[in-house]
Amino acid sequence: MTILNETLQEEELKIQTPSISRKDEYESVGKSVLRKDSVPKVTGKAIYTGDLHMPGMLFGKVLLSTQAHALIKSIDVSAAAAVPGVKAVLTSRDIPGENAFGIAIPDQQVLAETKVRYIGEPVAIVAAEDIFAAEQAISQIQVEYEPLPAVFSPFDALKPGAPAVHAKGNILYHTKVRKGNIERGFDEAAIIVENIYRTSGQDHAPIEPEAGFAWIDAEGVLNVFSGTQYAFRDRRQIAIALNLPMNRVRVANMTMGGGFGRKDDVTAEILVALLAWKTGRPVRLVYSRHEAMMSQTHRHPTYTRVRTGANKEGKLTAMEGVIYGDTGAYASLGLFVIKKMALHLGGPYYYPNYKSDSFSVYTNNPIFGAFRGFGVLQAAVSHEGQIDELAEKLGMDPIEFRLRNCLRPGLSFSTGQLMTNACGIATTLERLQDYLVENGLSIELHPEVSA
Amino acid sequence: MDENNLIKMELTVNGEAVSMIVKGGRRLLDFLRDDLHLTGTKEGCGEGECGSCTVHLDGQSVLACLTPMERAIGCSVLTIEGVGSPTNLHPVQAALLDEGGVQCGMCTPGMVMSALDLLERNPDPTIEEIIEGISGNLCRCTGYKKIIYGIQQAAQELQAASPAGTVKESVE
Amino acid sequence: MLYRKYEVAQTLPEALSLLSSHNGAVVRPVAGGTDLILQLHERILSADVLVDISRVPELRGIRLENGQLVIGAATTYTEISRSDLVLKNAFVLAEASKKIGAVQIQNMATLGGNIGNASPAADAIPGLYALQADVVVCGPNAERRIPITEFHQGYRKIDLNPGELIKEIRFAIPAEGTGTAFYKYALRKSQAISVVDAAVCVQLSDGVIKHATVALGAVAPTIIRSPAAESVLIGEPPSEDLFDRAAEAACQDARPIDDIRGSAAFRKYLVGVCTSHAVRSACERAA
Ligand SMILES: Cc1cc2nc3c(=O)[nH]c(=O)nc-3n(C[C@H](O)[C@H](O)[C@H](O)COP(=O)(O)OP(=O)(O)OC[C@H]3O[C@@H](n4cnc5c(N)ncnc54)[C@H](O)[C@@H]3O)c2cc1C
Ligand code: FES
Ligand code: FES
Repeated sequence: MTILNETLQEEELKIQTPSISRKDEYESVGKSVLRKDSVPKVTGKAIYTGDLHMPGMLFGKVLLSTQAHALIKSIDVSAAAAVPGVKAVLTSRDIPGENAFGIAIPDQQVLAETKVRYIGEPVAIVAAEDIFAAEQAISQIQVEYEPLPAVFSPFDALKPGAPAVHAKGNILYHTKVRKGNIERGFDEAAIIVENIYRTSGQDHAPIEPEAGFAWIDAEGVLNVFSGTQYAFRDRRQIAIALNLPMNRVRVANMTMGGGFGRKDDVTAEILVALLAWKTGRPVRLVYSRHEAMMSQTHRHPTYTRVRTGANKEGKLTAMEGVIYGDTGAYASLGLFVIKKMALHLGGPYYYPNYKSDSFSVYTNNPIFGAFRGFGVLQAAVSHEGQIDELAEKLGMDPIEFRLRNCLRPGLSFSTGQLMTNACGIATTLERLQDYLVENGLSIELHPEVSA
Repeated sequence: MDENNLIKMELTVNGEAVSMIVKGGRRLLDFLRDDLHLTGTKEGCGEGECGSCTVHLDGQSVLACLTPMERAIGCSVLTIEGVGSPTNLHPVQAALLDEGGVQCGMCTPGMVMSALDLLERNPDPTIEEIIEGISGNLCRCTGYKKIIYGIQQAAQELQAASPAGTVKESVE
Repeated sequence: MLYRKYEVAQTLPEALSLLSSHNGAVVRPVAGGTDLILQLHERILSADVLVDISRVPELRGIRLENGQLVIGAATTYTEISRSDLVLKNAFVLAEASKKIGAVQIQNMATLGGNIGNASPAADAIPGLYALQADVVVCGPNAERRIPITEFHQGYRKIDLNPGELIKEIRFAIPAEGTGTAFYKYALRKSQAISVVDAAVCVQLSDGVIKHATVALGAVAPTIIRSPAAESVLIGEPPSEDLFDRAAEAACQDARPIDDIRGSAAFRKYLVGVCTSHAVRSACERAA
């Protein structure tokens, strides 16, 4: 939570640019270098998690919840366990350690225990001699659900008396950003625009669906291989769930077939580790595309109301905004993504007065987490919309208006952080201006929709 | 009907004769990956959308995830493993590296197989034709441009290497 | 296992006998497999035995026979789009074939499979409606010939009995001065199911449309003809105004639904777009 109550007198601050020694020629900067792993990749020799196999390997499969919000009354695995070739059918009861994990806060269940919170939540896992036996076993697991009322938008989730996705309530996190004096800022404005922006969810769809491979080596160490963005955090969470000391768990990062933020979370790692630990056999668990889309994280859908003011000279005076981010059934990185959105709601522009509130809200939608841009992308939809509309209403060229207001060394960001040398927005805009001139182009704000 | 559904897979894979008794009733993709351990052919979707499982069956690009394995009996299959080796890259592979068309690499084998199929039919494709040729292959990393330029570069190199003028085939 | 046994038929009689020789088992013919293998993999369908008909010579190839064009059911889209006979006489089918899936799907998938799968969004079928094609079906004892408009009886419902196969498609070579066209609107250029599509045949004579057929896809439980659009076109010289009126008329015949790819209202709008594009192209090609 960031609260800054006084206006900073940026113009008076002198910024010292750290001196960097510059060479004319670098080994790789400014050059095209061959990725170290690209030759194996282009010849099909690179080994991804789903490519691993070992003698005696079992195939893992996950049963996903079919209910958005429901109590689990019972799970009957007897028919599944009787399928020929099935070596393990595990539910939350079989978790040796804590049935809790989460990249930011451990609010997620490894396997759903008493209730499911979204369609696609893992409920049970199976390891079998081949994938068909595993699939058949999954289809034989009987789960008795008692459906609960569910919420599918942050607005419904925030209504008084709304079904509680989590016992602690449906607000995961509220971020407040305060800078300057917002009333004064709007008093100084000659023009104010106010709009509501909505962005939709999105699947990362890495071409490699999530996968994990686990085996116990001769020293009794549980090895978990996966395409992960954070092996050490995975290792910690596996150890906690399996109740193992950290030095009994080793996580190795395989070649990763695209992550884009989603493989920052634990994906298949704990589940496959459990199966290997229980069966003593190597286990490979590869999600299908369908399962991955159901159970893994996505980009946050967001709803934003924002008000922005500028004076007659074309200088921004204030911005005020409220954001509701749908974080789905579990936190993942939803608190940070939506927090970041509050910080970046104004974009790369300087506002002497700034106020934003963002709410990361639990719903019974799939989990929304980290995705390239991390909330900044959703913010861009609104700040660029606002800036364009202000420029138009002020009769100013949109690039000129941006140049007049963009952050530069010596100015402060919404949080009060002073820009130093790494602040390239002005240079970028100038290059864009040159480009337009060189190519005889101009910016049309409302191009005719052409067929 | 054999309850274990064991079948004899006799075919040519990457120029080599293969004959093995395996479980039938699966996809060509499963046979290649699980039985032959040719894991260069990837499964990105299992439903025909992404093209990462593209292989050549009797000289035509097909999706191994939608091909019953038994269909390949008696046929010749070419997978990425048969295209070029790290020390002897095919011009398409070399050009993809050169242009920076390989990132996570998960789409790459399928892209290479589609590019080969295209260049065999149409050795001198336009950018539009390249785009159409790889339109059955999804890439989430590169944004496609570098892949398209890579294929264009490879086409030019291959053309230069084989001066015999090839007739361009046109469908539309 | 997706299926328990795979049989490869070498001849049509063999295919027919394999289809009916597994008592009590679920036997399905497989051509390209692009619909069927997916449906088996996703457990939408099940099968005990697959009968591979992709190499049956009687089901393959494109030929002229007594003024009729005959396309074998197991002919692939790649073969159709490259066939000189099709390019010359039924361009609409080549155009549609190039819009189905992408290269790999076109190499695998067949015309007969599109008819057999009977999706209301099947892209090869509107062209067959516009060409007024017949479906030839053969069973163990007899062959039947059914107009395609009757063969598709309802949503995913076709006039095919167990043990029968779609053998081929037949239609009269369009008269001199005929132009045909297919226009598809989908969310992407490739690998996308039609939101709406239209296939059109027009015959021009002395600068006036003498004969016209307009077929629409993905706007009803089956592909449909648009009699309203056809009657607007017949007897008129091609003009932008005429294309607009045909488009409007086509909208009246469409009965689209809301689904994940588009709302009914959007589809109605697209019917007009697709119809006018297809009619315009067909007229240009007829001229
Ligand atoms: C990624 C992807 C993209 C696609 N894009 C498109 C598209 O753009 N447009 C479109 O229209 N379709 C599309 N399809 C669907 C599919 O490719 C077509 O419907 C295709 O024509 C099916 O032909 P097939 O030979 O593969 O059929 P199969 O899967 O072999 O068979 C389909 C059905 O018909 C039956 N059948 C096949 N042949 C016969 C026969 N001769 N007699 C009786 N029954 C028979 C089979 O038993 C099965 O029930 C797409 C599919 C995929 C996977
Ligand atoms: S895995 Fe075959 S097309 Fe995606
Ligand atoms: S390089 Fe990652 S999907 Fe293409």
